[in-house]
Amino acid sequence: MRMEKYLRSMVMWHIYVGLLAISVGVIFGLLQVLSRSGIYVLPPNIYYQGLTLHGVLNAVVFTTFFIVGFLYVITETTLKEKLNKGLVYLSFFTMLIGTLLAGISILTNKATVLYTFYPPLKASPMFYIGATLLIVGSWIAVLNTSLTFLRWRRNNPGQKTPGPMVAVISIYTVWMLATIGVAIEVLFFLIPWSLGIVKSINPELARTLFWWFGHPLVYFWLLPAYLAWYYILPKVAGGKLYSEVAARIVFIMFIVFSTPVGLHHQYSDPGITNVWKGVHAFFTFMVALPSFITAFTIAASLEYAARKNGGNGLFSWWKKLPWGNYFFAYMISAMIAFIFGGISGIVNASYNMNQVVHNTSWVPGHFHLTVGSAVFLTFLGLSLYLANKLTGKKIFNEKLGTLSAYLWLIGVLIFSWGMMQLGRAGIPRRTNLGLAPYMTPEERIFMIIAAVGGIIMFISAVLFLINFVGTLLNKKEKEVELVEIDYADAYYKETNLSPIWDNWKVWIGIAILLIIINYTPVFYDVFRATYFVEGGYSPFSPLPMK
Amino acid sequence: MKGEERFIPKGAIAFFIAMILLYAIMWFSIYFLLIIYRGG
Amino acid sequence: MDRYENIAIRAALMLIGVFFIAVIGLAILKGIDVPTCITDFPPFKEGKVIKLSDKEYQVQILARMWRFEPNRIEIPAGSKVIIYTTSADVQHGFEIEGKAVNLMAIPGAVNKAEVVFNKPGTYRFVCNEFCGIGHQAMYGEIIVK
Repeated sequence: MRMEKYLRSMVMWHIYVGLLAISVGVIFGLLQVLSRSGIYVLPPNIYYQGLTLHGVLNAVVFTTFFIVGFLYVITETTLKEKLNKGLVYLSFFTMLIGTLLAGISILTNKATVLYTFYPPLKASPMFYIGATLLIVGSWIAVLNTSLTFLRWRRNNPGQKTPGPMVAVISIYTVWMLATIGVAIEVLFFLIPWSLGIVKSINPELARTLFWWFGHPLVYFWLLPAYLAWYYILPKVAGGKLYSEVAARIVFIMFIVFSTPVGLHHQYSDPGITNVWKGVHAFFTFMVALPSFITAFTIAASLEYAARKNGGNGLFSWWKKLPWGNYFFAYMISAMIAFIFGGISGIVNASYNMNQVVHNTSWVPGHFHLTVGSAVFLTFLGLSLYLANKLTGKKIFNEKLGTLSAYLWLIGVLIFSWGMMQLGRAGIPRRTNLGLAPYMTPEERIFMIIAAVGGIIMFISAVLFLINFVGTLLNKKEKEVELVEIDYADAYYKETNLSPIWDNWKVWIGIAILLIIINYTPVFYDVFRATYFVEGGYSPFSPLPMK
Repeated sequence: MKGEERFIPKGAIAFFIAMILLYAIMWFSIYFLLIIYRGG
Repeated sequence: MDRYENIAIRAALMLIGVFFIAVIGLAILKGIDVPTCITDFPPFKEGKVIKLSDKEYQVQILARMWRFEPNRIEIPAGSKVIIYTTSADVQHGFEIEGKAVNLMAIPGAVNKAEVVFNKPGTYRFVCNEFCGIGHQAMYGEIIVK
């Protein structure tokens, strides 16, 4: 399909901002493993500033910019409808200004509150306003995409939403439902409090509002990766998507189950009845189900490709997959890491078992496999893929991409294993362990092993950046007029699908209902058992700020 | 199935069963850790 | 839905069903649970240890920027400790390593846990929630004789 020049360059600009954020973020990731393992110890004010940058740049800035850009491409190439040009620019610059405001406040060490910004630790108002603008900017992109989809609906009455667009609707629905929580926290509590208009704040209420947002946020990251695994990877691997219906039902399950689960981040919190924590644990187990279905459906899709390529036997067919292809290498490494990310996530979510691992190094061990690999590697593969498709330039060196993918997989498995051993021993996360007096020698060995993994991960990221920049410096092979995304054909097509599976109002309604049911008792508990407190604190002094 | 011999994802089923067994082993190792920690 | 997808869904449901029953069963039958909502204990301003009986102690842990009060507790082996935690300033964590006792210490809220120390030894507790530049030095010990 013909994609206008402005949109092709704007999508690339979303990717440039995201990868710029990553290139700074991974440096601090390296400094953190060196400091935690005692190899090169940073002073605390630099360590925790770097930790804030690492979290915000990698997990918020890179992800949000890349996803918005990527979903523009999916929306236009699937619906053959034009996005609104003005809203694309408005969204991008709102997000950019927000990122700069938040970035400057962190760089001037005025917002060393980490990526969760729990009060009463107080950052400068610029940080909270910047974060708000980044989210509002993404809302404008959601508005733009919704208007385009509704126009498509009017122009194609009775036609089912195409698969990739089902994913886009699911992603942006989860994002809107999620951001309600943090928007209330920041607009009604944190901004007035940091400006001094309001004197007191309820930290437990702020935590509960943040984690209403915090978990569906991870599905905002994960589902674009699922979109690529379901609708692009099977074709690149030479096969078909095993079942279109399974993919559609998976994305609909995420709409329903992503948000009423936030308490699995708050099992250790005071003031919330353990029964509601149990209810959220149950719904968290339900939201694990679509990921199991994905594991099976993608494996079946790859098996179909391998068999077409002469693969046979129960396990030997894996050999017939295009392991050398850079795109496949990024995706398969992402999925292998995600197998271990999945089970460590289920351990976190398992109610009283969380007591063993809460806030320990087990948790970063877990999420460097999920957002840090499953999402990160998929986005890196897609960045090269989109650079080639949208700018018409040849990829600098495809084998370098393949090497970087497998190198990251090796590094992150070593890193995560080391961190999870530390977590089992109870060693905390988000802590400058290089200066901690309570580390025993054998615990330090686990951290040094994790540091080795971290160093390998850093090298892999550098190789990717070389490859990406090299691609941009290549001369244009052909003028890009038609943008063709390799959308996979389906083996099991949706023949007689009941219309309920294409009725978005129903699923969004059910999702809102579940959030109300699951969160009303929680806020009732928080209001009756926890209190507002006076005073905000900077991380540098135990005395309250004036 | 348009002349194509019916594709049965035997390999995917084998992989899925292996994954479920791996998950059970890893999960129960932390489950017993909880019981030991809270017991002592 | 394709027949093999159904098999996969049922297998996954069985697995997470077993996990959920195992976890909830442990909470109900063995009392190994997560903290809950208590409203009969107001946020306190200083840490202290109260001896309820030979084998039962109540400890109020006040977490503050960058020290637990008290941060050294001695008790005889076999004693049960009822721990309350709150914070005097920002959010802290209170985690006894190797005992799976993991409480948040939140200003304006009180958290509670009960734990039995049978084996003698030194049990280390640490702050596991970022609370400023002194966070990595914040720890304490429970000495069980």
